[in-house]
Amino acid sequence: MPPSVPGAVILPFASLGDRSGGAGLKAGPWPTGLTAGGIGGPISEQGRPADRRILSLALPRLTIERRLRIGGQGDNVLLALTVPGPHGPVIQAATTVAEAAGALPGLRVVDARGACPALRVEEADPEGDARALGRLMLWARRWCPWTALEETGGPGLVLDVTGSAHLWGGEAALLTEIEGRLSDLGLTARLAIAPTRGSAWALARFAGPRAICGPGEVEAMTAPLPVRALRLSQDTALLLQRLGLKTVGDLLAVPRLPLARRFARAEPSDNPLLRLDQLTGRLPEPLHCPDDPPRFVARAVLSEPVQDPTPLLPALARELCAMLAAKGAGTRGLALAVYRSDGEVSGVEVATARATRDPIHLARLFEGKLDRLDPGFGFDLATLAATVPEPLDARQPGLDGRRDDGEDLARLVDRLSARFGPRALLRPAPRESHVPERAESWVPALGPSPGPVPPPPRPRPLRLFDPPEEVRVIYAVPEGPPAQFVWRRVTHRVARFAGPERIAPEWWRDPPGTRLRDYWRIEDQEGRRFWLYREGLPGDGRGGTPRWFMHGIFA
Amino acid sequence: MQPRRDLQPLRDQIARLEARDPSRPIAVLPFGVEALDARLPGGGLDRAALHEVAGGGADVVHGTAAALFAAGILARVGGQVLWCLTRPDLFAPALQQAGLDPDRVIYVEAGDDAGVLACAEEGLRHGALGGVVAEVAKLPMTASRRLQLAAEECGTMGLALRRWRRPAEASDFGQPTAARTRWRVSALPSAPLLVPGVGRARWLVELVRVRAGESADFVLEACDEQGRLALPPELARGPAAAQVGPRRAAS
Repeated sequence: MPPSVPGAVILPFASLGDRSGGAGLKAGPWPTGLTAGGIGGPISEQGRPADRRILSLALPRLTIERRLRIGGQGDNVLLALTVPGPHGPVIQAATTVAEAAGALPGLRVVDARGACPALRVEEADPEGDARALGRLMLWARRWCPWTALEETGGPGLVLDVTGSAHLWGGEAALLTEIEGRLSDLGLTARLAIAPTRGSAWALARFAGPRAICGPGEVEAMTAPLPVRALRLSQDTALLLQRLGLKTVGDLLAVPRLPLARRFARAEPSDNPLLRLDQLTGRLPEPLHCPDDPPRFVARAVLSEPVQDPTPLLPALARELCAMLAAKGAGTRGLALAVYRSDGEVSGVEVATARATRDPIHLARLFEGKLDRLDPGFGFDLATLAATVPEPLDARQPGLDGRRDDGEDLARLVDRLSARFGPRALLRPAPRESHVPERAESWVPALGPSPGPVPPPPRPRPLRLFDPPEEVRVIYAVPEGPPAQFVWRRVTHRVARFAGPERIAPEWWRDPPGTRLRDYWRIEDQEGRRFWLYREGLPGDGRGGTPRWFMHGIFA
Repeated sequence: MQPRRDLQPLRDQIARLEARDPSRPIAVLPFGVEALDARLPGGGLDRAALHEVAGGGADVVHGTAAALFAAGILARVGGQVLWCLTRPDLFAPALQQAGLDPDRVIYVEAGDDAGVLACAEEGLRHGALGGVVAEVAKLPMTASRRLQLAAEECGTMGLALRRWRRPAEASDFGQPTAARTRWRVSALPSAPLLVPGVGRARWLVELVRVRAGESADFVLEACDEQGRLALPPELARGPAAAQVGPRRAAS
């Protein structure tokens, strides 16, 4: 999900917003820090669970809607996302247009292509989906403090809205609000509120839109739903159907004893009795809410508006680093935000290559970047936030007083990246390919080391031209060495040559019809060395007369 | 020309006066070629100094031989190398063949000459790097002085690789800079082999300027896989001095 969604947690500044009430940032009605770890839900005075209100939220089309949103596309493209299957890729999700054309989820791509030849297929990103859902779960704490991921039934969330709904104008209004917010994000949601997790889950997925089930209505409202609404596995649901138990109501009418005997040792997802009890509330099902990730924000509140944030930085950095140290964390990203007295907010972000909590280093990263801030008539609040906190344990420096070169290098890389941009600092990563332009890729300077690769067995030029420059060559036909060539309007006579070194196209990657290359190392009469290649052979059926290219210079 | 014994105390005294930190001995990186090392004060390239390398002849635009010469030096220096450039056309496998492993090099694509110089200075001042290369066209006196001071203070070798856009601009190489040594490397025709093929490349390495030393030029075989230069075999057997003679400084 791209971080351009207003109000979402994924916004870089959203993590600062709720403390300051800054412009454009929506804060939930609860003070931060009010989170319920472990078993959520209020307990009544008798020690029994109070009447709880659970909201279940299903996002049936999250995968495809997220992809469309990233690509900025509408729903009118023929696109399907696939996951690997035992017999080739299988469609996981598809746009409505593609589904209407026959590319249904669960189908193999080859079969779907038969029904819909124009189908565009891309790989799904399950990890990315899971991360997005996690962020959405934290974002949903704007409505109530207890939210968790749904374990079964595809992407979904579960929210304990007990005692929260009135803040949004009642349960019906809350459901409309949530649906509208998610629809703004481009997500289709189905939701329901019920007294138990089981019933909310069933109603969200199998009842009409925005179902609300009162405390005494669980059995009445869930009775007409199919047995699949009990969060049962496919096999068990099929088994029950074969037994003639088609709806939840049918199952509720069956005596408990035979059911208990039949499914005594089954897993929860295969045990209809357990699921029934969870649905009706006979068996409590606690909601386990993960804690909010810790937020690291240092603030400087000023009594008078000032123009220049530079003098504040060292103190802010020290405060932030103390907070990080207390939690055993470091950060890979920092955001400085200044809140102007007229309500505008502007910010600067920097990134580091490794997690760090060194205040001097972090403050130095902002050098030369602060003039991009627009202080207007002055600002009276500045915050410095760690945007990418990471665990960072304290390290014992060597007793011999030597510096840690790796750590030092990371700082140099940080400073240079802050100045020239993160894409300017690169490290070559050799790849195993004979095609020269593919033998080298570029990775970020402090990324994981690609590991040693043996040097190429044959000499390679130091300067490689991209793209190769076409030259006019006099050579012995059909496949002889070059004798003379004109490159950049200068004629070079070949004094010595070595070759050819034949590099065949990589059939698994190159388009059909790509011609082979015969490389020659050439030394001209002045001693300069070039790398020429002839593309193709005469009569190879892949084009006309072979052309010659200059691909690089040795020395 | 051998250094005279009676001059040595005087040289040492001058070196002590010039050095910022008299207690630190001068660390040098010998080339391993006697004829070359004898020309350099201390018997090799000063590790804590700026050296300037340029291509000669038709090589001024691409500076290929000069870059390989620099890569060979850095391969023997050890440690991480920061290579600041404006035109990213270096091919890493070739550097690897000159002894500089890809995981030892960090490239910085720094927009223009001013960016390259700033970046190189930052790298030199850092102190934990093995060497820093700055690929620049113009090297003003002030900039070279800053680089030289940074190299001297932090003990990191700096290499200014001069690379011009047009051959006509190469006359800029005559302008004075604060670099400790100045080299011009150009390609020579290699020795003919008995069989068809291309042998080891041969360079004309001109030591155009060296502080407290005399300039000279050498015909050398190009870097091998460990970044070492060598005398051509026909010279190595005979008296090396035949090809090596004193030469007037070209600056």
